[in-house]
Amino acid sequence: MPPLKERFPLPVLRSASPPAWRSLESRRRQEAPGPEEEFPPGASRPPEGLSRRALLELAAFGAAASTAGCFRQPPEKVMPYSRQPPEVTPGVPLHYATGLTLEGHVRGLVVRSHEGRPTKVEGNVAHPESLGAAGLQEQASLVGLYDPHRAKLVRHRGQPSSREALFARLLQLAARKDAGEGLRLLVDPTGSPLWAHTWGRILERFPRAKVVPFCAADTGASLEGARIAYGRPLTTLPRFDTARAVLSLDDDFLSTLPGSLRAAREFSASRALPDMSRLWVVESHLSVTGAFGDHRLRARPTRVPHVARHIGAEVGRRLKRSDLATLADGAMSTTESERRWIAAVAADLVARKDQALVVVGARQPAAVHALAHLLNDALGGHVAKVAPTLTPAPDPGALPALVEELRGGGVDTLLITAWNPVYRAPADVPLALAMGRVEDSVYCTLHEDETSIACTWSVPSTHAYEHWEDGRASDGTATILQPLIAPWLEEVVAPLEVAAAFSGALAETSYQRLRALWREHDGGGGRAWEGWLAEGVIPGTRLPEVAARVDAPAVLAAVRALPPASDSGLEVQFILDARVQDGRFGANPWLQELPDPITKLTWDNAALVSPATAARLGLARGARVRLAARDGAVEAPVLVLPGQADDTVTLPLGYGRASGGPVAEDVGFDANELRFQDAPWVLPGVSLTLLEGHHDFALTQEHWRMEERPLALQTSRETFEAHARTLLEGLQAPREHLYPPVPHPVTPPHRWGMAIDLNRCTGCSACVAACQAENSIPSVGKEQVRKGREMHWLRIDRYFLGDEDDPGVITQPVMCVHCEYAPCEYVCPVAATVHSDEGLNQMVYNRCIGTRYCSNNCPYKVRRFNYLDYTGKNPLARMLRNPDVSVRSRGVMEKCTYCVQRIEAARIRARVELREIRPGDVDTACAQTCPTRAITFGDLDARDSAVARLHGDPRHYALLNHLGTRPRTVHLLRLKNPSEALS
Amino acid sequence: MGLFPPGTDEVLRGGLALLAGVPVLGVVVLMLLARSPLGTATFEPVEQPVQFDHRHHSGDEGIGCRYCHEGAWEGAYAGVPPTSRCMGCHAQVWNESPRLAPVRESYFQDRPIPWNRVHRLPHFVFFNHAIHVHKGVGCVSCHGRVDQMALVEKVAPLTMGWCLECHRDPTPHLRPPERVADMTWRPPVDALETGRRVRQALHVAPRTECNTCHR
Repeated sequence: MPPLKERFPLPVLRSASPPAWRSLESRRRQEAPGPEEEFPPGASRPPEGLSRRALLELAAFGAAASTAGCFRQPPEKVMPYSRQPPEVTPGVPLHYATGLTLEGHVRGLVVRSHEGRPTKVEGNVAHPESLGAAGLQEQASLVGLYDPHRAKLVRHRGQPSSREALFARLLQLAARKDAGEGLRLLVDPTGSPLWAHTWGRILERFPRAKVVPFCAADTGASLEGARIAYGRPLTTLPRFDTARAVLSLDDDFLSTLPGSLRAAREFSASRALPDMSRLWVVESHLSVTGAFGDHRLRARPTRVPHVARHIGAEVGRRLKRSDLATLADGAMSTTESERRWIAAVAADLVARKDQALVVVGARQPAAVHALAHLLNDALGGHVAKVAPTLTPAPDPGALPALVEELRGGGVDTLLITAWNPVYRAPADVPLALAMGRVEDSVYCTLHEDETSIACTWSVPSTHAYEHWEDGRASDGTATILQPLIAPWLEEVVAPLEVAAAFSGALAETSYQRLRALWREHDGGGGRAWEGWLAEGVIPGTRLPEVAARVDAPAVLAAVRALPPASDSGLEVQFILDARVQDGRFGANPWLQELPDPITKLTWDNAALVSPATAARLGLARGARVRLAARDGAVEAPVLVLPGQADDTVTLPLGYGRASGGPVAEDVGFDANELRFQDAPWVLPGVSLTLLEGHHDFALTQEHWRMEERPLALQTSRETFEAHARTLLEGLQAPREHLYPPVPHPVTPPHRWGMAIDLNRCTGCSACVAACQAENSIPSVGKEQVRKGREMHWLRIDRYFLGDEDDPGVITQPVMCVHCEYAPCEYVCPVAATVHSDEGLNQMVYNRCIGTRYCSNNCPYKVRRFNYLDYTGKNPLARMLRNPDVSVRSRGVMEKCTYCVQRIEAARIRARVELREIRPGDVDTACAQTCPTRAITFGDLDARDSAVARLHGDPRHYALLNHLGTRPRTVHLLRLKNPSEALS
Repeated sequence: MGLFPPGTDEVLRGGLALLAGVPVLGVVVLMLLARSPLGTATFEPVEQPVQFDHRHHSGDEGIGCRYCHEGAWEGAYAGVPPTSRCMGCHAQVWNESPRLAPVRESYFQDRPIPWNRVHRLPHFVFFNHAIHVHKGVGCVSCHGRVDQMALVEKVAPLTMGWCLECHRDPTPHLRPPERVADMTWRPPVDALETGRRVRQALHVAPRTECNTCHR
């Protein structure tokens, strides 16, 4: 017999894709191998603050307590309803359609409720902005509902007050006779008809009052761009499924709110062979969309608009549009490689004609938005346009004007329903200071934060799942947002109630106001209402498309008027954090602990710089720097990120909170300190000084690695088409195995399996949050993450490919692959992990004694160990848990179960109805929420099984196939569609 | 005569055997004890906050199990009925009885009656009533003759071994689904033959995989 090494050679395919690496540090180690720690430092140390002795004592107590529990079950009470609602059967969950307003627009959701307790959020299939998917923030929204640190008391000047006192004062203020001269409302723009109606009523009663929009994320550039191009502000609704050449100018359309779920679904559909789309991205930092792109041009933030101008000119030249082509005159100079890139993208767009699409990100100036309208029009593609839905219209100048008014002393009542404006205000807008001059500033908030301190009345607000509201998707489709639970805090007030005190509608509840508002639309005397609630959408509310003609000369004039690019010095660019957004989700521990899709950073933000810039300035990971410009400065730790544009520092917003609860506070730095009202996104001419000290990040990119073998694979479309049959042969054919074949039942009931299509995975991480919610996975905190003890069953590995400065990126979700020959099972001394007849690698928690042998022997590194009791004894944390899943205690191993609780529930349902489980009866939490449907789960033996088809796809491969483990989860090769012009 | 008296060896061996045997025996005794009625708390009537008598309701009045425990047919939990269910009758009959004072109090103050649990499974076990009831397992098979109990008591140990016994060979325990709630039903002639027929008709195929109950 030949030696093992020859019988089980390491997989080939190195040539199919460039070598992958997880971080700069690991890449440099690859080049110069040296001794390397397998685990992060401190992985084996006991928790801090607890001596070894105390730990042993606790362990002994635990042992005594557990044996006591073994002998006799302690007595327990059963609390039935006194009056049971007719629709409730204890133990049988109900589902309600509702939604969550993000950036002013609603995403439709379906929430699972156990006896009136919401436990899981899913997307609503009927809703145009969800299509059945849900993103990170939605999946983690229930943590916010049950947050123990929510604001609980009405406070007046910091002292506890009461609701009665608040409303007495509000009514006093509403009885004013100055026609609203001194009344101002500071609000987040929203599409909600009820809010618009309420504000309308207030302005009717007080004609001189003002409703001021606060906009941190949407600074109104896109509407202004449409105004330049079409003469009036319009919202565009690009369709990605019909586009075959997409140019994104700094638009992270796969992950920014709103609309990303729909865009990701449509775009991933366009990536299928044979007519695969091509994505071109121009951007300054590495975004999810850029990572997914076929061609990516790194450009300094101030250069991006000028690259767009060059592309416009080149497209014009090829289309023989002389007006467009003249844009090249007097444009910024470009390098040779930039010229080639611009020529290639223009050629591709022109070749695809009406199947070409140009999209622009919210950070870009209005002229670039206008140029995109002109280009789309010139190329012949149809981009739907609707009237904008947000009220009041975003206006970056509104806040400084308000602050001027406040300082002038003319305002006596300021009603704030916008989220934390004091924290989010630009550095040169002294909002907190100005608020000191207002006699009554009333702030509705979920947490007592920076603004609560600055205002006179801090009002604890109801959570979105605790009150009635409505809202619109970006295409106008309206949804009634029904509450899922009665407010669990006594003092909380719905923000609409506070506004109602001024609109004079306090006699009615918000439910009655909502019914009254929608009565007109509800022709049948209120009968349609129940249907709207059940469906989660109101039919016939989609906005009609608007026909508009592009005013080309105006657009060209605007583009020519763009300020010149800065060619020297550092530029700072601000981005919204992928997890906490502008900071409003900062108090959410799930989102804090979720690794950023690209940086893999948890519990932090960082100043992102490119490797070349870091080398030039002598920076390394964790170095502390001071960034200063004008009279603002910020101190931040550095993270060197490949793919970043040179001489560009990217600062994610949303961190560095001084107040707002123990989860949000003291995490990261506050980039707003460097943000000015005239430069909300890009700030050139920034000086950088290196400071003393080192910052220790909690980065997960090097945790759970599988020893740098080629795992996440991609190749070009051409290579794949030429060698479809042979390319992955070595990773598909079952290998010999040392162990005897597993006795297979004669008639296996089902053969569960999964397929993960890397060609669809954008790395957005919604699946990670969905898994966490469905399986009651705790978050462990920064200290534990640093030791490699994060508990996420599903991780998304992010690999860089090739060049350090401008790498390719591939993301790969990895959870338990349910090996048919599972290495973990062979080493467990107590048979706590065993195989089921349906191919599930079962984990039996109550048998586990915590040897961790299984985890050591798992080649995929997907098992997670409860080093400490992470579940928490907080009764609110228990509200969040899925009652169909065991609570794991300390010392127990856990891992992905293929959502076995859902399989068993479907089996019971099917068997009670005397039928088989049908396709579609079971879906795992990750597959259900995936915006791009990258994850497919099902029975491999079922007829017309989608997962079986994918298991037979020529693109499929088994992870670490050479080990002979025969995983039930296969991955599908990612295809890139590079342009010939640039090869 | 040697240094030690004869028999020293035996004493020593006996002592060693005892030393080794006592812990083993201790463990065996503990394990047996845990499985005994004392350990599993079987055959111990459980006191309740309301003197509710199944003998009267189920036995004398002939109220079916499903009238109050309808959840057993629909989901995982058989459930304890809401107070409103009690009041359905007791608003009319015995509506002034001092024994029912806690029930009225619960109803009018909208606070649940804190019943004491009789059948309790560990938190890592997921039992589902509906599937058992729909596959012809009678209430009486696990809960005993509740219609003869003044205070309900556990009659089955509810240990994993006991569950598996039936899951491995359910046939003798099956009955026609319309007889599930019947406390007095006996198989006509041959329990096995009846069970076999039920099994075929209802596709009874109990599973013994870990994940069936542990998730």
